[in-house]
Amino acid sequence: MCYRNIILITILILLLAAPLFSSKKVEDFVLEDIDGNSVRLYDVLQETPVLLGFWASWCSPCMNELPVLHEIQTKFDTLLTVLCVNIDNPRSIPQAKSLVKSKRVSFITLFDTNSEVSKKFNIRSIPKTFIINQDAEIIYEHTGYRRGDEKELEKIILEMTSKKESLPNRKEEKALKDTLKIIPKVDSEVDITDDSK
Amino acid sequence: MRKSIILIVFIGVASNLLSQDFFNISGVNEIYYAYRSAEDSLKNFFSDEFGFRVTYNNLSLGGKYLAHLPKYDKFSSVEELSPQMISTKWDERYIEYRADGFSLLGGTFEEAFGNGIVLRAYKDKDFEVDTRLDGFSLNALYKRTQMKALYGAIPSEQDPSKNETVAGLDVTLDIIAPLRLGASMASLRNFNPVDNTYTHQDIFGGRIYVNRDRLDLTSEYGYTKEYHGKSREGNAIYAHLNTYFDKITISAAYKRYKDFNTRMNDLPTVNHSMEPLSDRVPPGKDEEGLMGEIRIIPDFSREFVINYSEAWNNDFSLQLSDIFCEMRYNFETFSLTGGYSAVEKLDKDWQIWEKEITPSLAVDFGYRDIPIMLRIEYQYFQEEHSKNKTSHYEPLLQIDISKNDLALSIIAEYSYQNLDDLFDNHVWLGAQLSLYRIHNTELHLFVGEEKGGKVCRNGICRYQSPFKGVRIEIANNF
Repeated sequence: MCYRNIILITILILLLAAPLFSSKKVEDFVLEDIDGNSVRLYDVLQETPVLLGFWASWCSPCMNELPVLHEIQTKFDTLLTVLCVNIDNPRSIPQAKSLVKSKRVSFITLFDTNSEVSKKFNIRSIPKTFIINQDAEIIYEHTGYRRGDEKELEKIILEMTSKKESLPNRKEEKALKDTLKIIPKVDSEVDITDDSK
Repeated sequence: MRKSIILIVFIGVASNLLSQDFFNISGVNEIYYAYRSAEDSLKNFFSDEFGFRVTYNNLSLGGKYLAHLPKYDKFSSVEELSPQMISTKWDERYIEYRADGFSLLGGTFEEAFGNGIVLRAYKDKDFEVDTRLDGFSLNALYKRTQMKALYGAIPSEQDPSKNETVAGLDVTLDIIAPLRLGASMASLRNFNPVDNTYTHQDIFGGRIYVNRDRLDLTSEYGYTKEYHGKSREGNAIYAHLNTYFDKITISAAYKRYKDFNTRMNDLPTVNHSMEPLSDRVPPGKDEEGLMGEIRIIPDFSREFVINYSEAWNNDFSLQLSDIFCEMRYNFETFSLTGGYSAVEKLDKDWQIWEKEITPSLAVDFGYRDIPIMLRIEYQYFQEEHSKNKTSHYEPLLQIDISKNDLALSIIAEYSYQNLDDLFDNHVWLGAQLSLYRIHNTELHLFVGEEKGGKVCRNGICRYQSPFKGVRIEIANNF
């Protein structure tokens, strides 16, 4: 009886204490993009922070939000990656593809046909937007889209990116390294030319 | 003393382990209270849905627990309900292992093969569909090949005490860059309540995807054979083509289903309104249809779309036509959306003809940093049942206003047959106040009456059952 009580108390304490040790990181996921390529969240986060949006083709506010997300992706270019997760049912995917491709959007569209990712993010209503930093932590979330919501989104992204301003982000860092790799070659060419002279 | 030390050491070790690796607990708790203003005596309904997911490195376990006091079922008679009748159940439970390109799940799961023609196990709370399976599901991705396998059980629709089983396998292969091929098979064991036996049904499917910059093609063929005395065969063809020109997108789709109605599939409707050909004949029994769409997008601020579809059965006794047009203009300070939809259905055998026309206009603008949305709809219904013609109008006016995390939406709906009874009819008037982001909490308070269907309030869309009374919903994410 005594041991049973200890086990029960232990389980109870562990259950109560578990959230304290629980990571604030979002769980990783892999979804297919519009071309059928697999996109992994953590791979994208290696490069830039992520704006994660959930939408469906039957949702009218989502249609108003898509151009805004396109603008954000264009504006923040290499500083942020916008991933838009479509939660239409599998039979509506061709219509959703047509919608996205005809709009020539700059963001990445992913398809969550089995609701795996929307369950992980506890999506109850759409559109739903999250901003995830490079430590995989949600720093902002918003439900719905109303005219002017983009101002707050941009403010949060600017705050997040300005914090990292002193440090080049991983994508820029890579670009910088690539440039540095090229420079010695140019120098060597110059040297050769100099020798020939 | 010894026990306390063991306990402390155990907690210490456990917490250390948890803090060093990826450990995450997330979930949502939804509290729902409704006071239904109904003629019966039972007016108060309370429910709680608690869903959680615990992840430790590659291993996750989760579930959803439902409690209803009492469970509201719009199909059951009021006499069967009592305020003390509490019903509790596990809606889902699962354990899942995920590694690079591999996942194995045991428990309740959703799954779809291709476009859902061969198999789709899912839950749609709004449409009261639940074909999720209890069993095992395996997903593997190796280079350009994706494989899904599953085995599960589902209670029979006719007799929930009997289980039906499903086994399935699906493979998708990337052949060369624009071309992908897929093949699926499912084996169903269905319960037959007439002679208390099980029947066996096999379904096979093959599909092609072509993805180019200027073209998308999805095409799927399905074949089924059911063994029960005299075997029954059926087939399904579905194709959808999108072609992209500079500012114009042209789409076309085709369907033909013959004796392909199974419980475990979700067939494309091939029309914009997602309407089935008939409400009395199961989808997939006997239908054929076409859909065409032109979408013109000169730039991001303007968009025009026109969609037309038709469907019929073999002897044309069932017919459906659906036309949808929409124009969107996004200006600097406001946006304008005008739409027109007309759905027409004919059932010659039952002598029913129905037509629903819906013109709509929505204006979105900001006034002193307060976003305001105004929407007007003017639905017109025409029906003919055995040469008895009726018609009525259903206008709708909606206004949504929000300030910071507070949003208010008011919808007024009205119904009248002609101008003489314009002021004698019923008005559905409902208001919803929503509050967001108080410690990951959403609160919605609804007061009034609504007709139901797809309702978009304060920029959020959901399907809603007809309702009259007061409703409070509190959802807390953790």
